[in-house]
Amino acid sequence: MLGRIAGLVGKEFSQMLRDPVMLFLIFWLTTAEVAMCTMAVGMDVKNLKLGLIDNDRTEISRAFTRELISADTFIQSGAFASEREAEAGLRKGVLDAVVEIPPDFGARVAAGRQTSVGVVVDGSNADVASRARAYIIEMTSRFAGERSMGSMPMRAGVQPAVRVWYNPSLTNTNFIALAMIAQAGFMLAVILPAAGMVREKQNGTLEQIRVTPIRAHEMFIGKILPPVIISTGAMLPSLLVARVLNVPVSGSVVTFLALNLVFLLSAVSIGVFVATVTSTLQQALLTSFFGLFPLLFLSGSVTPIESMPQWLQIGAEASPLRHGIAIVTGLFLKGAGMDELWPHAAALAAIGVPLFALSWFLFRRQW
Amino acid sequence: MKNRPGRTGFRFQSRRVPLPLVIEAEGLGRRFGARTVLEGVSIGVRQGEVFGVVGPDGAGKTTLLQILAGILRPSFGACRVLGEDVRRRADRVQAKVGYMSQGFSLYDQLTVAENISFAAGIRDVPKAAFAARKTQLLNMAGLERFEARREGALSGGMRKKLALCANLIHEPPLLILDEPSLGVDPLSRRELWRMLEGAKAAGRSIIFATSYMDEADGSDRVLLLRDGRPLAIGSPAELRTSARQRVYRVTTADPTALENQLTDSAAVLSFQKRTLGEYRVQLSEAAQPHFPAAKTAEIAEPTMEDVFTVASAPLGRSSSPSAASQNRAPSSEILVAAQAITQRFGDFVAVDDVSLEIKAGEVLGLLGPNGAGKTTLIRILCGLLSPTEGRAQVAGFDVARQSDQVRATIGYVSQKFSLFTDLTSQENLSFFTRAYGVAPAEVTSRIAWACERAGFHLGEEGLVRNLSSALRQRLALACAIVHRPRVLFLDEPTSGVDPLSRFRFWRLISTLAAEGVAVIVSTHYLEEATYCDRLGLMMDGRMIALGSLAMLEAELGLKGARVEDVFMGFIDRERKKLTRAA
Repeated sequence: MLGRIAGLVGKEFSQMLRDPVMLFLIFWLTTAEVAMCTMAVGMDVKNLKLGLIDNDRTEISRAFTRELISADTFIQSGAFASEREAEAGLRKGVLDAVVEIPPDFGARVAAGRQTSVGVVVDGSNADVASRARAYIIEMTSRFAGERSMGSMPMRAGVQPAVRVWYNPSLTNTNFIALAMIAQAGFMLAVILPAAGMVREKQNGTLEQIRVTPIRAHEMFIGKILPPVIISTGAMLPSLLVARVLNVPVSGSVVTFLALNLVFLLSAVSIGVFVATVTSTLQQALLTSFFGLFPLLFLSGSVTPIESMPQWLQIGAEASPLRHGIAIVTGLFLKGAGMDELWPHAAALAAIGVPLFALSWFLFRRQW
Repeated sequence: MKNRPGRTGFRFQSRRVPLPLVIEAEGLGRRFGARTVLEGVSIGVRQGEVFGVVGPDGAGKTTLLQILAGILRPSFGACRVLGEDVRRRADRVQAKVGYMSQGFSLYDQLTVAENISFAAGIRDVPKAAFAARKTQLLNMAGLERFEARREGALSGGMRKKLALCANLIHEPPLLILDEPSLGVDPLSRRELWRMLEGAKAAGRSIIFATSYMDEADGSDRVLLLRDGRPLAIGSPAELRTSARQRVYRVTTADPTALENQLTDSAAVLSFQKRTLGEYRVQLSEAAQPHFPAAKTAEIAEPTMEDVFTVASAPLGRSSSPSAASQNRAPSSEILVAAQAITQRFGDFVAVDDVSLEIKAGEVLGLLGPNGAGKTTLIRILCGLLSPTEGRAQVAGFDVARQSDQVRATIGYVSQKFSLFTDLTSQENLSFFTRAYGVAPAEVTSRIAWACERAGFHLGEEGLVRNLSSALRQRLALACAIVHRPRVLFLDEPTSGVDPLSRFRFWRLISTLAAEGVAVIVSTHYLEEATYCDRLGLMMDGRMIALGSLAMLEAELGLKGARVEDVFMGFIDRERKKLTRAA
């Protein structure tokens, strides 16, 4: 039996290595695409274009302006004399936000009196707008706090002291890169077995194998083992890319490999399932893609799970990708181990084992 | 134009006023990667000519036609079609010709009328002419009653006729047809040819590809292709003249002795058993043969198949297997036994109450039209399908319940080539050797044995997809026998293979049977039936006759009859029975 499985696995690898297009696609998905997604999809708001209408023109108003553009959230793109002029810039999209400083700004701040600044934010991209708005509010209050410090006694109140752990720079790159690596591995582990099995069905080689003493379970193992090995192996160049992108890749490789197996179990099961319900390569690929989309949306890498409606959150828990991403980020960003990650591992097993049983049942029935 | 005289090989076909050439090709060829699929084709087709390109699967027919239609760039040579260069003015060539590809190329979701309108629309057929042409074409095709029917709901023959209509709607001066009669029933085939005769009468030129050698007789001139190289070119009569004196009709009173002499003779290319005492023999050179066991030997009028065999002789490798053990006598051990097998798919009865027995060393041929149930029967006996009713044993194991043991003792070559085309021959052989659980120490010797028995030379490296159809067939046989099976199932193993390779393939099968293997083989080449010890004639899922050719002849009261006559005799008898019953 082992000899037959070895023969099947060896044949799969020979076919795979003989197929330059497939090899290139795997390499492309796990390196170039991981890098591109990481750099493009990062949800950080940077280099927003700020227009200024400074009606005060004092030392204090200039200090306020410097404060706003001190971090790389905003860059100053022009000063305007009136709101109307600035508006044109907003409409054309050359500005993302406009701050208007009133004429008595400097004097009022110096006197410790209440003052206000006018802020207009381009709301067409809600995500960018809310971040820009929050940033301006925060900088304004910080500025006001610092200036009033000397002249006014501290008012009673709660001052939050926020510290960000695991991702001190609060950049999104780390999360996106790791989520993308998990996604790439998952996609490969769905598509490779689906394509491999349907191709044999289509070419009639499955029938030729069925008249040999190869049993259903040997064929099944021979078909899912190579994709698992390839998907796992393909994650290694991905992790290298992540390193290059300054993503902290720390954590136990053994834990990663063990949990990865549980993670890919669901993926290959879905792949086999697709192969049993389709009869051409084209159908198999389309079915895999349409099946992958909802899993992707529910994984938390596109939108945070916390912001989904309640019933979708439950659905998200059933997406193996959601737990896979939680495991990969937990492992590499937080340095977590089995002690912390076991709930996700258990969830993956709870999803994967029934899927695996179902796909085996369908495969057996078609044999 | 470097239009040198005598360049094309048809000048001797003297016409008083030579009509213009619609196709002029010189040294045409095509390479895909490192593989040359077509080379050295030089042809000239004149206006109004019907030109046949004849050859087995993989001969390069489709490649040639695609080049002529301007949809595939040639790698070598020059070619002008309707005065346009296929390389530089491919767009004009495409617009002028009518090209009907293999298979079904129309839209199965559209109706007959919609398909015709679409074809007319994309070809800019003037509105005024369209209605009249459409009526005329559909009438000729006998499709006028089906205008509103979806194309996908038509029969195969009707779909082909419609495809031809769609290609005639813009009245192209040249029709390029790729295997127009493939998968078409005989009646539709005749109608299709009548339509083509109409097109010819209207002055159109036709070039078509076929793997049926007999279709070549309907054309003015023929190009024989094999493995991408032209074998011969000329009118059917000229080609037959070239093969004359190399084809003999030999009769004998002692078939076994004659067969041995034919096999041993170096001058014999191939031979076919026509009736019990009559053989047709193709020789490598024109010389009076001498066979002591023959009663008479007279020159026979060559058929296109004979022409092809004779013409492809210098190319073929003379690798006939050891003929020593051809005298086979089936033993008494029954290896395959089926009792009252019935297979239903829904309401459709694919196999209806079939019983048979096959002994070790015996070759059983299954004959019958498409859809008669031959493939289903073979699949049941291989354990690929569980019969709805009845039981079958192979080497003493029940095919439905002990399929693991059954599979270890059988070899199977399916109708469709089903080895891994993206692996090498060696890799395929190793894979199947391991799949059958051959001990690692024995793998090399077993592969060598299987290749020798299958007449396959393992030196030929490279991917299987680059092998010719005849070589693939032998490799498939080698892969099916690496585990020394006791029963061998061959489902139409020779379809699409040229006559000479078919003959050699049958010699290999005889050798295996002589070693005690029971062989079940289905075929639609009736003349191949003579290679079998016993024949099973199938029709509509039923086994309407089972026995040796001599027995079947006697049953019909015939003597010296050809297989065709026996086959038709039983089908007629069966039809009469049915009509009486109804």
